Amino acid sequence: MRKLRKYLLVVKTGINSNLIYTADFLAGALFFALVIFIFMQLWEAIFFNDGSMEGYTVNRLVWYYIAAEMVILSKSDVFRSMNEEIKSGNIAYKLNKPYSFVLYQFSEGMGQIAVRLMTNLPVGLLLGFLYVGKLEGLNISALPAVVISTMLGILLNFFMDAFIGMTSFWTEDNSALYWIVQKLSFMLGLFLPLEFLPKIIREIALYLPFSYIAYAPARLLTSFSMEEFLSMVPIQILYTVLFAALSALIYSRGVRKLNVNGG
Amino acid sequence: MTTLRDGEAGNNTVIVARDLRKVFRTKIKKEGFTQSVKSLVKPEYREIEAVHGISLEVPRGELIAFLGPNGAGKSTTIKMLTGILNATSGSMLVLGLDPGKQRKSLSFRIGSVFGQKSQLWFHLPPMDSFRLLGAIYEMDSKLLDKRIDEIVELFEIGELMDIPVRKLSLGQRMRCEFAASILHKPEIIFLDEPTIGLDVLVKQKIRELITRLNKEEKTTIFLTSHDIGDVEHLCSRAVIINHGKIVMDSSVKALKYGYLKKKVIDVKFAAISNHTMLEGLNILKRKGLSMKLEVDEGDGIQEVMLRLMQAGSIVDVTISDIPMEKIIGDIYTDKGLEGINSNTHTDSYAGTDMDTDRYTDTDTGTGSTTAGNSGGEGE
Repeated sequence: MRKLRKYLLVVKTGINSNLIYTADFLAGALFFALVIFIFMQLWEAIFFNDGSMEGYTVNRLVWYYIAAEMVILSKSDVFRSMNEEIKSGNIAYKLNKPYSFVLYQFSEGMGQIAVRLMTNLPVGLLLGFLYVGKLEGLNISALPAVVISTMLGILLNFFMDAFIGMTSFWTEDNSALYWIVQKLSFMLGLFLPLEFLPKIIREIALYLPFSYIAYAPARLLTSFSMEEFLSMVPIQILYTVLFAALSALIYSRGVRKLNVNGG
Repeated sequence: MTTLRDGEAGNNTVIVARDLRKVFRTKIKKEGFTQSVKSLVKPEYREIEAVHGISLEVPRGELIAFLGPNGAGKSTTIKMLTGILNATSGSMLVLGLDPGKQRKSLSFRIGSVFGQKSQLWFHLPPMDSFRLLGAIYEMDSKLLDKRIDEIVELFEIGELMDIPVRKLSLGQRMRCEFAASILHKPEIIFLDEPTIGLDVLVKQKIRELITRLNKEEKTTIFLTSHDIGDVEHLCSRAVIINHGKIVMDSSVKALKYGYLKKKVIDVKFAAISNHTMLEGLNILKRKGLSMKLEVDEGDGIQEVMLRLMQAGSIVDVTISDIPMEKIIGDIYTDKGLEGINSNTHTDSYAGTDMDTDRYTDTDTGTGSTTAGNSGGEGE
């Protein structure tokens, strides 16, 4: 019980620590509103005013983008914090405490995510209603499935970031790798639904983990089908578990070869 | 790696290290673009031996100072003893546990303060971090409340408890850092440069707290510092390391009095009438009518003073001890080691001859190379 309590308190402290900044919150909401507005203008200008493409109308596309962006914006700082802590040597303080370091990072990340989700969710809903109104063809009974997929997308994103963050044990600077992964997640599912990509790229993307961060939940929200739910969610689970295991593994390897910087 | 068994070094010993070594493998990169590309394709490594066979025993309740210039291996040793870094070879037992293998069990019983790093949540008031640490150390909430009250009073940080850490001054923050590290009543506390960057008053306060902690809670204190004052005011034993090896292990008293058998005389003449009286004196430095001499304690002082008075009319004279900083600085640079049986824990440290012609300092003698620098080892 005490063991569980410590991680719960880490989550809570993470929430507290992230609630401090109202300016941060306002800037985040503003950014969210701005990118969605730009994308909406883009879609309207580029290919249609009415009509649709690959089953997406402007209304659905805006809601797709809101759902996808919500997952991406509600991420934790785990990459940056791992990267900085390993580089600065501050990790020394985190290592000699009686807890699992990976679980500690996870709990702290969940605190951050909770705060961001709590602000991004109402902002996203509000923007959607203001810009394009209610989602066309919304299937209320599919919402639990969308929630599950969203949670999995967020978790997968967390563990991928944690995994890349912990490569700092080996590499002097892994920001480039992080950047590449971010761009891949952006191209494969955030910027465009996979359906808009050439067939061959779409098929490859469906094997890669990146699309299972934002594409899966956004796709399920805007055009739910049981068939897609059953094909995508297991892969989301699989990739999440895989990256969680990889993070734990890379941590246990990395910490053994740790060379605490700064003496 | 040989293993030590608990109790091997006696029940009263809390730290035992035998022939501890740590080798880092560091990627090397020569300057220039082509070399950068080359190091990408075929990286070259160099092995750096940060700790080179350190053996040490620390009895319970001791206040021990671990000294050495930057890069001597102090922090690396602390990090091995606390289980953060794995030793390359050698063996150690801290509170009967092997830090490399039993880091978690050990972490319940030790505390640490790294002067240049922080364990408090930056955006939250210290109280939040204290509560979290209490939970991390699995403390009973009633006990934790009691302990927090106790520590808040001891450290006089009551008025800081609800201010976000980022708004605290360095001195205030360090007091809170220190308080945070002893919440769980550690048996040993490792302090890695706890007074770095602090002003004189805060330094004194921190030293006072360390002493009280040692006396009242019988906590063993393992301290590294660049600040000789820390050592002089706090510690009973000093271990000096350089290039990853122990060059001296002695009681602070012995260290001090070994050198204190000599005094430095600064004298200023209005005029010197009889130069022959100065012949044969150990003059370290001379500039016009001012000079600095070294003399042996006891009869030496009287004799030298008499001769100085006969040499001319004296305007000003000061007789002082050799500063601690100078002593340590000399040991760092291997100058003060002649006649010392290094690497022995001995209380008899008399009869040391200082290599006097290297005493080139201008006035107070505090300018020795590595000692006394509180702004050292930066990140």
